[in-house]
Amino acid sequence: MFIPIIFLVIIIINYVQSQTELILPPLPYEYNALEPILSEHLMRLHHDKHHQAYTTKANAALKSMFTDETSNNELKDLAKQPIEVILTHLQNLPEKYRLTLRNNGGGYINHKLFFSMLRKPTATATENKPTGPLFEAIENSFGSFDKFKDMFTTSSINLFGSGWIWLFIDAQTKQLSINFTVNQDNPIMFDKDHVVLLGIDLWEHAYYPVYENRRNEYVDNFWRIINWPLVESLYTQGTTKRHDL
Amino acid sequence: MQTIIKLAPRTLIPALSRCSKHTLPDLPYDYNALEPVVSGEIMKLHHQKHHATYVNNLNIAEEKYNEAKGKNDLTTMIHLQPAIRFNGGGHLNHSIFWEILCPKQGGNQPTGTLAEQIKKDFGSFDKMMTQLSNASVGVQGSGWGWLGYNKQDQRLQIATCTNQDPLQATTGLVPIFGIDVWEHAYYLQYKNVRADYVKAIFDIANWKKSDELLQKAKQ
Repeated sequence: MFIPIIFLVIIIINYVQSQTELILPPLPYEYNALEPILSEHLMRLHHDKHHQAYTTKANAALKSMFTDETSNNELKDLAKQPIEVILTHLQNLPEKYRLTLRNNGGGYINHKLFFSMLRKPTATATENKPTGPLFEAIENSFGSFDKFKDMFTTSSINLFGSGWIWLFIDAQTKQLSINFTVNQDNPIMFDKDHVVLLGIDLWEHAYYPVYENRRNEYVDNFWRIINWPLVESLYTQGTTKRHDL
Repeated sequence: MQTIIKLAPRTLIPALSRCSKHTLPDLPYDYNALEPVVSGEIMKLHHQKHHATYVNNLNIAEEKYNEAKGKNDLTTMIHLQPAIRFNGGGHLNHSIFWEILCPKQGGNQPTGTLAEQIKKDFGSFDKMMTQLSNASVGVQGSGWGWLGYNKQDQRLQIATCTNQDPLQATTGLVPIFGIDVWEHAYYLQYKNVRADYVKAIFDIANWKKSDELLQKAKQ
């Protein structure tokens, strides 16, 4: 009588511990909240189509990886980890999963971060600035906040093809850096200590419905919709809490 | 005066690029001629903004390159190479692209040398179309899907290129037919559904032109 119960318990435990699917997070604001910088139409496409597609495809890959008979226990364990952990171990993944998780897992976290960093536009770009320790850190690292803005803007305009420009902090050295990634790569794929603070999506889909080919106008307006309090909290976390990835 | 008036209705080329080495070629058809597959709105932006920018930036980069070369400034020459690759590739790719498209025709299939070569190298036109479609839809980020001719092996091949890397310069394959899968090529009409755009573009393929390109490549 005990044996069937034990089997049942084992089945239940396995079910509970199986990979939790990535959920598409809702936007932290209404679709029209970023007007006129980013239109409701653009936000609906960007979130409901693009971000959804990355989520769906990442989940399909994770499920495949977990249920694949050829996956060893180490791989199955990795498949159950948070997506950020998986993305710092891309080199450990079999080739058949590596690229799809790089692109779709990357797309999932990049857009999750990006949408959270935006908020209702300020009247002007110049009035929208960080305060406190992050502001000081930026001024120390780049000479001045305006110099940082120039660097970030120039890099964004000059990036060729699809990709992102990031401001990130090294959790170990506390150094702030601006750098780019191509396609849906994220800085953590290259160094698990790179904590993203701010990013701008420079794929054409991120701006085309409003700005067409005028990427520089999109980048100039981006400064009006940055949610600096959120970015400041990422900075505080990045400098005080070490996530073991 | 007369030349300017002739050019003006079709294009908005600023005087600078007409005098410089590379010029924006006219489309061989009106902006709305490829409807309903590619809208007039997209064609106008694609030609007058995107392609024109590649041409302008190529001319600027080349001028700086020649200046640096004149001074034996190798550092600057190397520094400029990515810009020449991006913008030169963009100019080459789009110049080919406009030519290998044409207004929609019913029952559009290759004929002649191209048809024979496709059958020989892929088994059937449908098989080639499937392979090219899958490759084009599968391009991550920005790039192109190509049907190219391998002169060494004397066969057609499918290839993809990232960003504006030009096919022949980077792979040696001669471009025969290609699909621009940068989002700007389809987004306003097809949104994120690249697969629909790639499927539809075969309806406006100028196979006659592709046949000419193949015959030239085989010489």
